[in-house]
Amino acid sequence: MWGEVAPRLVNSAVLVAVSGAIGTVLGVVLGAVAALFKDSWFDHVSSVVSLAVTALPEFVVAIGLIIVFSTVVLHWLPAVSLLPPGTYAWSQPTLLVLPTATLVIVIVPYVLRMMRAAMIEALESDYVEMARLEGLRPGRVTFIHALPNAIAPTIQVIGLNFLYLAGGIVIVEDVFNFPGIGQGLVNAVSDRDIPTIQLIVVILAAFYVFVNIVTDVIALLASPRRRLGR
Amino acid sequence: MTTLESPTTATTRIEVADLQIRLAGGADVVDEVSFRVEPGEILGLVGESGSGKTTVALALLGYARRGLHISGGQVRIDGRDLLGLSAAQLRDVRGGTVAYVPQDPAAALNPTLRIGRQMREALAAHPAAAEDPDARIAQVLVDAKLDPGSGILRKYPHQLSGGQQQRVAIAMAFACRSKVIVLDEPTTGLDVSTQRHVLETVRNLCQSYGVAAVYVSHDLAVVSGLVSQVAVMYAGRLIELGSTERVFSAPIHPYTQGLLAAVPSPEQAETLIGVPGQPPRPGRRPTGCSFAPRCGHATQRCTLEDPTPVTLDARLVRCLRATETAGSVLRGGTVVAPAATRSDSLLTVTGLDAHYGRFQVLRHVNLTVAPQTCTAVVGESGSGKTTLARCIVGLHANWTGRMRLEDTDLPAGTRRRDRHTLERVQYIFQNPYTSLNPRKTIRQILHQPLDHFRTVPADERPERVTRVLQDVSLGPDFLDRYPDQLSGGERQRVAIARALVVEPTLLVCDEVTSALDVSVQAVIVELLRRLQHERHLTMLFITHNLALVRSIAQTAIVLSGGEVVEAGPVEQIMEHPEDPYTIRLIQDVPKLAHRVSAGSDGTSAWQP
Amino acid sequence: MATVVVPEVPAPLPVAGVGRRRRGSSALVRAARTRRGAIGLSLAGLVVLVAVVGPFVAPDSPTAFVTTPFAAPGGANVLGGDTLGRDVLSRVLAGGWVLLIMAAAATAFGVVVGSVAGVSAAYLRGRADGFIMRTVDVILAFPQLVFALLLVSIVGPKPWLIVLAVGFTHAPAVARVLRSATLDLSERDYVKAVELQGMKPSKVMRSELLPNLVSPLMVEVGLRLTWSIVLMAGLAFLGFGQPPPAPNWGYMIQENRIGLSSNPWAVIVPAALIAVLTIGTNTFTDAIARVMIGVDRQGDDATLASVISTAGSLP
Repeated sequence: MWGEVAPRLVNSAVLVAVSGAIGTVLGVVLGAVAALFKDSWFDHVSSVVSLAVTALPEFVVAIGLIIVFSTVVLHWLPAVSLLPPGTYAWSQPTLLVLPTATLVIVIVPYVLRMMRAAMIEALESDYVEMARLEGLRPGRVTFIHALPNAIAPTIQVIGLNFLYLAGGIVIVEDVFNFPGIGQGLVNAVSDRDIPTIQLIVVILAAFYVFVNIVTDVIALLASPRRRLGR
Repeated sequence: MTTLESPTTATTRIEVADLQIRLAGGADVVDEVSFRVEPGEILGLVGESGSGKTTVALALLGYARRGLHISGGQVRIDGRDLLGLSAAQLRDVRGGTVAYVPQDPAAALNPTLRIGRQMREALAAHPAAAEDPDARIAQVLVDAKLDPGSGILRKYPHQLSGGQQQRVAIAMAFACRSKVIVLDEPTTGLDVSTQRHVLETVRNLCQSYGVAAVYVSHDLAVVSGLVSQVAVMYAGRLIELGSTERVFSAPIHPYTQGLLAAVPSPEQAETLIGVPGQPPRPGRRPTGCSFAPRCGHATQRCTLEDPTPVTLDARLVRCLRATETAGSVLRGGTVVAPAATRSDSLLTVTGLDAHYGRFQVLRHVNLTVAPQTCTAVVGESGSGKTTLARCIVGLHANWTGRMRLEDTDLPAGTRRRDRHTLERVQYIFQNPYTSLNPRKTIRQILHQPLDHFRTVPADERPERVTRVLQDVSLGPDFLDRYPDQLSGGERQRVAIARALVVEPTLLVCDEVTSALDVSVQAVIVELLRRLQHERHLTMLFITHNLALVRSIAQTAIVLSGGEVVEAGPVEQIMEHPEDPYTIRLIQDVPKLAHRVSAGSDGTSAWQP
Repeated sequence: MATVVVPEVPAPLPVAGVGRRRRGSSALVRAARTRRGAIGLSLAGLVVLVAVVGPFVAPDSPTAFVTTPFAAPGGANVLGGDTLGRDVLSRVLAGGWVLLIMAAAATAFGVVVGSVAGVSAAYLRGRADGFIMRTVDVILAFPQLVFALLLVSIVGPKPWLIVLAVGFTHAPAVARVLRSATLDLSERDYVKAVELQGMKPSKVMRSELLPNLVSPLMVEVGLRLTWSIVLMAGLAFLGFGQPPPAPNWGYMIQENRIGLSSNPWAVIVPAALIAVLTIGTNTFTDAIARVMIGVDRQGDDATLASVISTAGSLP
């Protein structure tokens, strides 16, 4: 059983890591930009789009991408990631594109909205006002004073997003026939294959614990107030 | 443009002329503000919440907060108008030529950066200020009475005490050898001793470096001992501007007179007179004189005609009736002490030890409160005074010792007290902004204790509620309002009414005026004093403000570090303190340096 | 312990028009009057209309074979045929209402259980808090969809089970949000004021805390409704909805996607309906939240902004 699950686990890990990393960076950057240019056209567009996208089920996003890029409109990318069992996803990188894109689209809005809110709060804080009143350059005010304080609360959301990805892969892998543990779980549930279900659930729970610990450690490092007592 | 008669000299450091600051919507929140400050001089900018004083202070750095913009006038530093400068030039001015000390350093220091880094950064932005930044930092730390060798530079802001944070902020402001320093209520929240040290530091630094300073404050007592010129703001305009000595000893504008009469004196027991009503909202100035709706001198003309400033008795006054109000004195009468201290007691606390977790907050506190008298509990932050109050009312249950209310024992915590006891002891919270449920009308809030205790028959409750509301000087039209439609003073009246509606025997007031402006504080203290007499209440008045004690209490205890260091009649403690701590505390209390000369009979009256 | 001297509290704004309260309902009305709220409500309303009226106006039976598999749109079949040659339009019109009812039921169940747990945990503290929050942590350790799949794998895909499973997995997130809001509120002096009278905890929660939790609750209802729809449709998509011949938007996407190049409408229309519905509910929820923050700047839902930012990020 482990022999069948292990390659799936690796494939899913690659999918989660790649889409998590891209989504986090995109979300933080776009959120910070939206906050810096609050009430600009970019801010309005990004807020409306992210509001709409947060509400979309993953399979709707995935189907939309398939319609546009693989079947009805364009024929650039494969609609399904058919891999022989036991092979790894990176052997055919084009197969990774649409599943990754789906997950990125789904998680970016959360990071973006949180980052925007935290950054606006930081930019309107007393210490940023003070930095301006000390005559510091705008770049310094933004990157040294506002940004680190905005990232601290965003880390929690990034952690939650990785946890969410663990569930999100179930549907995305099913849509694209991507050979990961999500697809394995759906198959196992259909077949009532209890031992496989148990194994996958344990793996997901372990992932949950791992992500929580990592998030807490990073959040601690980002906040001297929590790291050091009085 | 109108300023005081003295001509602008070549040395004039700050010259503000016709400053106007508008909201994004167009209404002005600051208008026609003009003043001058010479090197080495400190100007006090005084006003209550919403008067626009912080907005003016920030404009001295060419800065306006979000939603505001400087729409007119000039701010000249050494003759150079800041308002025409480019962004880069303004950056040189900010922190360089003009430095700012914020109101709340805990929020104004960046929590993720070490103190040393923040100070070096400020110096790096103005490299001309010092050749050796580290030496300069060490020097200003010493100037601000901080020890550079104590590793303070490697600490994060949250690892410092409030006083240390404030000194760091002051040190940073002086680090770049600025010519002008703007201090925005830098001592709010500090205890009196720290406050005094900080004020001395500021005064010394200004004198020794020839710095011109603007000191923003709501506290007239603090300002009176520090500044040479005072500018009183009301509703976004200066209403009186002149030398501190003249303005404080012979105020002309009725608002200045009212403010001064509202300041409690630690030296004399007198009734306080507040200013009735409340100021207009920022940007919503009424036609005519903005103060007219609250002014005892107002005539028809005052409500129609906008007064222009006139020069009178070496100062500028914005009042149509300035010549008539000049010389009038608003003064509280002497408090007639009630019957000599009684020997019997209503509340007896013996050997009280209280803990928060393992930390001991109160050590062996003894206290007796005679019936129908007011006892003040005085202490600085951390003295345990609020814990004492909470132990007595039952909010804090982790204590040992004995507490008796007449013949009944008061057990620890509300859950172990019976209904009758709970009803007899009522508590008024410090902050009226959080003590009323925002989802309930005043009627619901006042009925709630009656419905809970049920000692008053249901059909008599509405009348009881109306009466108690009347007692706290609020009309029945308040019954259907929600707390957020009330001002701070009105909310605190409702809180008092809620405590009194069940007719308690003992009323515990915990810092009930510390969240309010001084003119409102005076009104509330007078209200409590009156109610205590009329209703024969026994009252425990917790405060950090020694000056208030004289106006309201007959006996006092002084708490320090959780212990009672002195107890006795108020006169005795204030006039002849014995404990070194009490002596220092009384010395450090800011007092009005120039008292309004009293009317001979000492009664409270407008005397034209 | 330490006394805080409150610095300048901004003077409260005198409010024009006293009768602006009666929070709950009027907040909904005011949200609907904002541009965002109106857009959200019309989008969601449109889909609800299709789902409710649909079954009565469908031209064919949703299970009748009336044309060839994946027939292109035209003639009697406006949206063409599906994988088995059934009329796509009829299946779309008939396949929405079950999803809506199940989502609403799951939301109600999840929000009630979650808020009771969260408010009691926060207010009662101690052992109740520990027990409730540990349970919450355990449930949260599994992604919602995985948890639902787990239950389905044990009992089988029954509609009532899916409602319970989805509702149950909402409860922990709701509990967390309401717990943090309640923790904040229970430190307020007005709560202490009634505790000083010896008021019973159950009454404190009902009469003092609950009225101040209306805003986070309404926002939670909106968020959870959106997520219920997403989860229900997702489960159906995976084949764990109603059993096959019954029409269901989620499952229609699954069964018809092999024919995307012949008749894409069999996939696009149900997918678009689900998307418009969830975008609509989410946008309306956002409008409610914005109205509430505006209303409560003076009131006691100061925590709402943080509540929304965390809740909004928890699928």
